This record gives sequence, structure tokens and C-alpha cells, in this order.
Amino acid sequence: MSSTSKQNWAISDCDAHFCDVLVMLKIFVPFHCYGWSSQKCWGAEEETAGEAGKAGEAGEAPAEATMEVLTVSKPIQNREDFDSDSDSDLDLDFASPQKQSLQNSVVTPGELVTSDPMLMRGHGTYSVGNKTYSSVAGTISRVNKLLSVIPLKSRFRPETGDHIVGRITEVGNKRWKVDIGGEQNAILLLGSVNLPGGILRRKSQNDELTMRNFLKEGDLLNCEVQMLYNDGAAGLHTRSLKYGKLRNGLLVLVPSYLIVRTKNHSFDLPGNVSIILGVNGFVWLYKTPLKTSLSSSSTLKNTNLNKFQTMLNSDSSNYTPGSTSVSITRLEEESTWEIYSDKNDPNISNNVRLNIVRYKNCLKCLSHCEIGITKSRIEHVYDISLEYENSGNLIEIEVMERIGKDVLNGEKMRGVNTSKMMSL
Amino acid sequence: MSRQEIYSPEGLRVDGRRWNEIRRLSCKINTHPISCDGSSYLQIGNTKVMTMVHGPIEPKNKSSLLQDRAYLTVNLNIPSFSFFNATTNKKLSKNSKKILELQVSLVNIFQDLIILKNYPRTQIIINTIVLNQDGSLISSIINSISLALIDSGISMYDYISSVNCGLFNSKFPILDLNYLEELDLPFLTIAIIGKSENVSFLLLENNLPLDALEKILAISISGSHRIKDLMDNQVKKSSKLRIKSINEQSIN
Amino acid sequence: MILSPAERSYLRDSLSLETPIRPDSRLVGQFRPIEAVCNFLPNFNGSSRVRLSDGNECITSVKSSVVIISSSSRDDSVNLIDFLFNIPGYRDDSNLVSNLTLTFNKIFNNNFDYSSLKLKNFKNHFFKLSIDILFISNSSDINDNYVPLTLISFSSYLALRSTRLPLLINDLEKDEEDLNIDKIKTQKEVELPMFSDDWSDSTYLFPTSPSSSTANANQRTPPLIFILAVIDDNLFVDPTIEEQYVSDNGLIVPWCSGNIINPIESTKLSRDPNSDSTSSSTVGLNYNHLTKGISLVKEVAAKVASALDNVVNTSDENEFLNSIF
Repeated sequence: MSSTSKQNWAISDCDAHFCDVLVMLKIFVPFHCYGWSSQKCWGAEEETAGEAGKAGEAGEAPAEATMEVLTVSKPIQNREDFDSDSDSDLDLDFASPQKQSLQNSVVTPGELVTSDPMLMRGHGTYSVGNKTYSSVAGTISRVNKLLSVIPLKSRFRPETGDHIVGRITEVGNKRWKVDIGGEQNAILLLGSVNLPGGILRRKSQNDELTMRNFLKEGDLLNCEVQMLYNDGAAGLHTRSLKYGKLRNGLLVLVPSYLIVRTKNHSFDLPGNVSIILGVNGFVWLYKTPLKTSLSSSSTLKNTNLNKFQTMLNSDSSNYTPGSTSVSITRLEEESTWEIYSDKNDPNISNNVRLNIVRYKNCLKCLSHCEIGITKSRIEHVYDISLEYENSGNLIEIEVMERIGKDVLNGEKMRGVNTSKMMSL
Repeated sequence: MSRQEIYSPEGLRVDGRRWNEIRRLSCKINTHPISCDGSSYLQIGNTKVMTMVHGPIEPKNKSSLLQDRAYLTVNLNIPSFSFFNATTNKKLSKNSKKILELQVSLVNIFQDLIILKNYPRTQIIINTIVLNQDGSLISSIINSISLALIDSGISMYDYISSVNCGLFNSKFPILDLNYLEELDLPFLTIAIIGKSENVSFLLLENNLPLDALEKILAISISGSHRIKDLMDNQVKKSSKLRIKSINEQSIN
Repeated sequence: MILSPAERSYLRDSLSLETPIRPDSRLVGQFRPIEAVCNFLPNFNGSSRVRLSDGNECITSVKSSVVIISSSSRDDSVNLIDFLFNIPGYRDDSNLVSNLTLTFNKIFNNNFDYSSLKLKNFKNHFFKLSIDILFISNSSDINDNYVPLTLISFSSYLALRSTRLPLLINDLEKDEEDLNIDKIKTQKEVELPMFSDDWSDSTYLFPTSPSSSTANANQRTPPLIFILAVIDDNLFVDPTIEEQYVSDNGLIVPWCSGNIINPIESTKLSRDPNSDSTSSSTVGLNYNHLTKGISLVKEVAAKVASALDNVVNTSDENEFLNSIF
């Protein structure tokens, strides 16, 4: 770590004042106070100063061993993609979709989809008389007698049963407004949350006035869509102990269409990290909580209770708020004030933090390459990313694209059926 | 200094075009995938306009909340460097009459075009930035907004395409004027819905003889149709590319 | 930008560690990748557009005009570089805009070598550069907390780097000996500088060296302004909006032509009244922070400059014909 000696202290007049003190500091202040990462000191770049021409090329591959300080790229231009002749006779390469072959063709607003009056018109269409026109740019989907056009791009549309992550934006009269990245904010009623004291607790006047003690503006929570109102807004609930306020981690935003609706959206990843893949594209990465027990069998009721109590009694000195997750069996006894605590676990190790950040970068890779996000893919990308000792490399675009290709190739080779991996 | 004729006797304009030729139109959608829901960049000749659409989103304040439909807002930004003869520090302030009037007209145009009742209690915000002006400012803005809305997946009835058309010597209609021609000739700006002949917007700030009006309207309508085809071309191209790249992942 | 208290404290804890862990795992001296293009506005002497991976972008244009400064008022009251900021969603007299204008004007005018703007052999004629900056934020509601200085600085650096000034044809060298001061006023016609109409004769305001190696570290460059976020004892270059939110303080360190320049300022990056109690607004900067910050910038600046120079060197003459996206 002798890189400090190689520094070129080109000191000009204006900081001559600092110069003397700086020199003194070099002698007296130990090196580690500069806070440089010991794993990959970017002083290593100094040694390759001779090749500094490479320190950020326009669109070329950076040197593998070092990390670039700044990568500048040029916007990728596809001339043929962009240009169109202005005065030639218009000669469309692709004829407008024939009325019979409807599936998978691209239509744009105002385009006639069909004149068949027997079909029902779904989303993305409008009708004038017998004729149905598309109202968005998208693909035609025909399911039995329902004809609709699925837009290529749209904001997240909640459906009943979706497991999502949201952020409180407003505290209102017996309800909270939650931002879920959709067209409207979702509504979380006071009656749809677990209040400390158990499920049968009566809601009092006091509860209404002290809503902020439970959830206030800015809080993140995971919840489920209970119902949809007439105008499309979602009604949420957190009536299970697997839902509630989120702690000990980081939020990552990915495009909502990359997340597939599956049975289970929260799982554990290698490295002591857990993840909640909100269907709305809000992904929560956090430290895997110490689990007491997840068994839901009724015969184990007492065992659970005992375990919990013994843990409390014996480890009372080690008991830290926010570090345990509460098992989902005993709602009454285990709904404590703790589920609304804002305090993180104080013992989150550096390793876990590094892993969380690495997973975050992996997710960003997948979202940049527009690859559908599933548990296996995340783990796959994580494995690939381990070859970069410092995951800060993963923010570079070339690296992201390379990793994306690797993931897809890997799946092709393993013969994984990925046909349903993306929902448009 | 050579004299430049707006329209020479041989039928050529200053930049070599004929009377019915539009300038080179290039457009691209989804230029800002991260920042907003829909975006577009349109360049006709040297006029460059960029639009970003946010929406439908939760309204910013209660006054923009309508129970039965979406609330549409248009913000127009014409920075000082976009002007043709950009003298320093000349900025069209946000509250200048020209911008306010334009914003109101744009809201009126697109309010009828977007199927607002599909998005009750939400707000749609359209932010347009003009990067460079060389004539047909309003047309480019309208075209660019149209593309950005399509990109964002908001339901609309059809495209809106717009072009301007002037009259030389009270006799010859000239399509798609650039800045210099706009200074010299009386012209109108027209916006047409789709491939029909329905006029959504018509702006005339000079004087035109009435008997020439029909000719000019006819030319402008066909000019708008051509622009619509060009935009549609581009939208279809990028959609197909997108679908192709998505399908590539679901191969097996 | 709102973060929950849990997120804030998690982030702050990660960043206060001895070897800090940034939310995207960058090193303290690493910048986020940017996309940049120059010379795409044909009406201007120089233009640039820089876009960050989080969607923020900044478009800068440089326009030159010729002004006459009489020798009596030559000292300081006249600024030959004038910045104008345009941030959609913000009034011109808002805090953010006026602070940015002030900072940039101060830094650039203090450290610009006006002799490069002087018309050769004309006594009182100078080029005046008007720099217009348009900053487009990624969310539809940015708030005062976010200070996008790094991006704007890159953009103005690139724009100035790619600025070309027209070639002066009218050379008064021969005639100067004959003219004396009285005659200057009467012979206004001879005095007017004339420029070549051919743009390919124009010269770069900042001459680029053929090899953009750091060996030429002291060549003249436009200033670069770095903003560093200060969290406990750590400083970070190019802070993201979340890092700024949990920061105690910010340090603005300008750099020009191989050296750190004046003025180095501190600024509050997160103006949120609900900030964590541990990072209260009374935490100031100490000496350690300053020295660390300066050394950090010294390490990084030359490389940043050479990376940006590459863009100018490899830029197409006819960039404005291409799409900028």
C-alpha cells in the first residue's frame, strides 16, 4: 500500500497554506484513516497511470484488472433505426396486419383491428360501430371471444393477491395512502393492519389519532392487495405476520414487468440475505432474520411458544429489537410493538452488507438487460458476479450486458424452459 | 451576398426542396426509459424537440384530482439556447403569454385525443423541451408529444400529426417551412387526427387570402398524413425490435 | 426523496464504516457511468449532453460574442463567462438556481485565464462566453435537497472543451504601430474584428493535445467541480441522491488544469428537517475532512478529465446530424 508515496502533490499557490499541514499529516496520521478499501485499493490505478489513456474510453472495454474512475460512453446510434426518408414515396416494409392473423402483430393507436362484431372488446381497444380499433401501441391478444391489445409499456397494474412492497405517502382519516408505483396510490385501511395486542383488539379512538406511531410517511412495508376499487386503485392489507414494516436492508427499483407473479415472493438467498420481490417492481433486500420457527402445525403450538419464551429468557441480554422474525402461528401473543419498530438490527455484519449490495447490483444487471427476474436467475447472476471481487464493477454497462448474455446462454445450455418468464 | 429566393422560378426553395417536400424527419421513442413512462425525440430539419410523459400517476395536489377522468398537464420549456439567433440570455420565461397560450392549446388538443376516462383520479404530466428551433415549432411539439404518449402506453384514439404550410406570392403553397421561410411567408399550422381529415388544431397568425385557403388545407392535410406514416413506421419498428428482444429470452 | 428511518439508518451505518460500503458498491473515488455527446447543436460554438445512469441529464451550450472592455474597467467587474441555469420545475429566483449560478460564476470567472479570450492584437476586444445549462431531472418532482453539481460540471466541462472560436482574419499587428490612441476612436471601421466564415478554420478554445495522457497534466482545461458527500469521517465522490440524503455535509472542490483551485466550499446536501438525530445540522467539517477531500479530488480529477477529453477527441464533426439518443 505504498501508493501514497506515488502521489503527485502538485500544489499551487492557493493551497500553499494547506501544503505544510498536509505534509505533517502524512507523517503523523496513520494510513487507514483515509478509509480506502483494503481489498481493491484504487491506488492500483495509479500504477497503471501509464495506460491512463484507457481510463475511460468512449465505448471501449476497460482494462480488466483495475476499476475505472469514470466510464464515459456514447449513446448507441443505429442510423437505420433512426432515419426515415422524408420525400420518398412511403413504402411500408410491413403490411398492416391482416384481419385474420391477429396474434402477435404490432398495432398502433387508430389502427383497425377487426370488424367482427362477435368479439368482445377488452383493454386497449375502442369501438366505433362494428369496427374495433386499437388505442395503444402493442400486441393483439385474443382469448376465445375477448379481443384486447396489450400495450408494450405500462405502469404497474395491481391485481388481487399480489404481494407488493410500498411506501407510505400520506396518513389520512383511518387510512394510509401507499405509493406502489402504479397509476394511483393504494389505500391501506386502519382495519387492515395488525395492531399490537393481537387480532381481536378493538380499535379505539386513540388508534386513529396515533396512526403515525405505527406507520408514518416514508415507511416501507410489504403487503398484499386485498381488493380493487372501482377506479382501479388497490386496497391493501398486512394481516399476516409475513407482512409489515421493512427493516435491515435496501430497496431496489426494477421495472415491474420483469417480475413474474409466482406463488412465493419472499425467499432466502445464499449469503445470509433475504429478498422480497414485490410484483410492482419494488424489491427489498435485507439481512436474513434469526428464525425461531416457521412451522405452522398446530401440534407444535406449545413447542413454539416454549421456544420463544426460552429464547427470551435465556438470551435476554442478547435480545435486540428488530432482530427476530415472529413465527406466523401465534398472531395474538406475538403481535408486539416490535413489528412497528424503526430500529434496525445493530449486528449487521459487513459481509452481509456487502452481499446485499452485490445482490442489488445483480438486480440492476438483470433489469438493464430486461431479463425476467426469478430466484434462480438472481442466484445465477450472483455466482457470475463473484468473479468480480468488488461488485462496484457491476455498474459498468459492458459488464452488465456481458453478465446478461451469460445468464441467457447458461439457461439455453441447461435447457431451462423460460417461455413464461416475462409478463408484458 | 447572394440573394436567396424563398421560391425560385424553377420551383426550388432555399434548401433545394420542392414546394411539397417536407424536411428530413427523424424520430425515436423510449429515449428515457428510466426517468419517465414515455419519451420521444423528434427532429425535423434542424428543429429538435424532446418530450417526456409521466403518467398516469397520483395527482400532485388535490386540485388536480378529477373523479371521473385524468387531469392533463402540459409543461413547455423553450430554453434560450434553442432560438435561431440565440442572443445571450434571451429566455422565454415560463409565464410568458406565448408559452401559456401554447400550453393551453396543447392541453385542449390532447384532452380530446387521450381516452381520459380510463384513468380516473390520476394525473398525466407532459414535459416538452425544445432543443433547437428552425421553423415549425408548434408542429414539432405536437408530433413529439403524440409519440411520447404512444410510447407511454396511454390509451388514445389515434395519432395526431402536424405540419405547417405557407403561401408564396399569394399563389404557391409551400409545405413545411423552416425559420427563414416562416419569417417571410404567411403560414398556418394544422394538426390532423390520424389518416382522416379531421382537424384538431389550426393556427394562423398572419393574413391569408381566402381563396387560397382550400389549396393550403389540402396540401397540409396530405403533408400531415405523410408525417403520420413516418411516425407510425418508427413506432412499429421499435415495437418489433422490443418484442423480438423479449422473445429472445423465452426461447427454448 | 423520502426514506424510511430504517433505510436511513441502514444506509448511514453502511457509509460510516471504516471501509464504507456504498449502496451500489462503488469505491469512494468511483463515478457512475455516464453517456456523453458533444457538438450536437449546430447554432452554437460548443454544446454537450451528459446523461447519468439514473436518468438525470444535463445539456449545455456555449455561445460566444465579442465585447469591448475599456481598459479602465477591466478589473473584475466584468465577467467574461456568464452562466444561465434552466431547471424545469424551478423558478429562476429559487434557491437552487441562484446558488448554482453564483457558484459556477464565481469558480469559473476566478480561474479562467482571460487572455485566452482576448482577441489577438485588439486592445479591448474580448470574447464573452454565455453558457446556458438545462438540467432535466429524472423524477417529476425533484426537491431542493438534491444538488446535481457533478453532472452539471461534467456537462459544462465538455461543452467548453468542445467550444470552437472563429478565426480572426483581421490582424492589426502591422497597423498597430501607426495607430495611436486618439485615432482609435475615429477609425472605428478599421477596428472591427473580422472573422472567417469558414467554420473549419475555427480553433478550439482549449487546445487538445493529440495524446490525452496525464503526462500533460498541467495543460489548460476548463474547471471541473466535484462535490463530495461527508458522512462521519468518510468522503464520497459523486454521491447519489440517497447518499446525499444521509450525509452530514458536502464539500465542493473545484479543480482546474491540474490543480485544486479556489474556492472550496462546504454545502449542506440534505436539507431535510427530519434528518436523523445523529447527523444533526450542527455537525461541521473538521480538518481531516478537508484534507481527505482535497487528496481524493487530486487523485481522481486528472483521470476524469482525460476520460471526458476522450469524448471530445473522438467526436464526430457532424454530430448534429445524428440522433443524440
